[in-house]
Amino acid sequence: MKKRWFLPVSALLAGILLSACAAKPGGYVRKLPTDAEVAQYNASVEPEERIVCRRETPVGTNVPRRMCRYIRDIEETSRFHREQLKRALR
Amino acid sequence: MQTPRRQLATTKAHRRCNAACVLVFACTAFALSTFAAEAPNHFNETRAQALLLAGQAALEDGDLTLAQTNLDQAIQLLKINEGLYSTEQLAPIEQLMWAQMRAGLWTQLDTSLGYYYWLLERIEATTLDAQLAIAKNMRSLYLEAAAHPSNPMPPRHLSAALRTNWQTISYIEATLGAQHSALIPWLYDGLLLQFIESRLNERQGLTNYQYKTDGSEFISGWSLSRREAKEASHSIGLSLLDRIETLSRTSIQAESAQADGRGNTSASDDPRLQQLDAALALYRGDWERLSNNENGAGEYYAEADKLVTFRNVPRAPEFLPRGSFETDPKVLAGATNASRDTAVQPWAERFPGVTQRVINALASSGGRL
Repeated sequence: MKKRWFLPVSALLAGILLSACAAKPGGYVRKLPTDAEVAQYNASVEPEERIVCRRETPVGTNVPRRMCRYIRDIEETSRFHREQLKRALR
Repeated sequence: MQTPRRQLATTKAHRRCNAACVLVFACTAFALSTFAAEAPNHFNETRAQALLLAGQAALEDGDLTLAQTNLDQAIQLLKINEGLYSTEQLAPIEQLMWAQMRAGLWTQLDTSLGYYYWLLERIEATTLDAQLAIAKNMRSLYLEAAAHPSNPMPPRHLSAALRTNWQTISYIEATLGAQHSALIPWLYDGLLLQFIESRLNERQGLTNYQYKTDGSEFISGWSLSRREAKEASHSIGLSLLDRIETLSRTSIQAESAQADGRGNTSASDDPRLQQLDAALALYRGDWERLSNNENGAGEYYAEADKLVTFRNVPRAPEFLPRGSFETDPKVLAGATNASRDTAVQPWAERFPGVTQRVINALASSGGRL
């Protein structure tokens, strides 16, 4: 008996959660650029201004998310992590 | 009164003087004529044109050294005759870059490319058509460079070909608007280039080059995985087809609305829209087939086959991707059959699966409004 209402309610909840992720209070929808948009953008800017969009799995979850970052930020983060690792291994 | 002996001496002296004068005059004339023949007239426009033509002929004959000498001289003369920022220099520089690329002179090619782009930035009086022709030529140059056996960094040049195509799309959008039908051939060329890129991705060690390559340096450590790069390539192809659909549909609907105003058929009844739907299903099926997704391809092909006239359009892998975007099934079938000769002719060892047919299609399409 419980299972009869469980499915529609969970579907409704999932819908509400998803719509909350997509839309902000002002009605603004946060939309990440498509691969084609990224390619077109990257072609028109200097190398240090280019972005990369990829699927990343944040700490604390197993659900991967599409993230877009500036290449310079990724490089800076990588450099920082390498230095931290070197320091820790000394 | 002069004695006969003295008279004779005077006559001889006159003769000697005359002979000396004639000799000096002849020498002067000869020297002048020789100098005039040897010294090039730097202000003679026909000489620059003659050098350009000679350079082009040598390039076509495969004499790359002679081509470079002639074209280099033509550029110098045009700089002097027409000015440092003259548009006349563009043609010989383009030819010179082709000669340098074919000769495998990569450092010299980079120098010429730098000068060419520097010059383009300073030339304002060029038409959109001329800009598109330049973009098309550069795209072909980069593609041939990517396939050159002695090229130490082929992904860099392939990447440049893709970037040139995207930049042209952005340029047309900025000039004519994002909904202009002139974008369609460039969007479809983008799909062909994406296909070539995906073939290079198949090779081990060259994955993610579109992000790794930048100028002369390889960057690593943050690029996409091979699977992600393939997914991105597939997704870009589909996005390009989506944009082609939007532009084609808008264009047909606008034309139908105009005709409707004159009392003709309404937009929804336009048979061209049905043809467009079937053609797009066919192209999407092709793209799935090229991505080794036979199930997806089958579904799209079934959709295309709803329009009986599309059932005869060939869709064997060796004919894919098609050279251009067409919606008329007769034209589609004709174009595919016409490419049979080059359907299996490989383009370059470095790009397995890319046939000369695709490169020919890129060289002949786009460019014009």
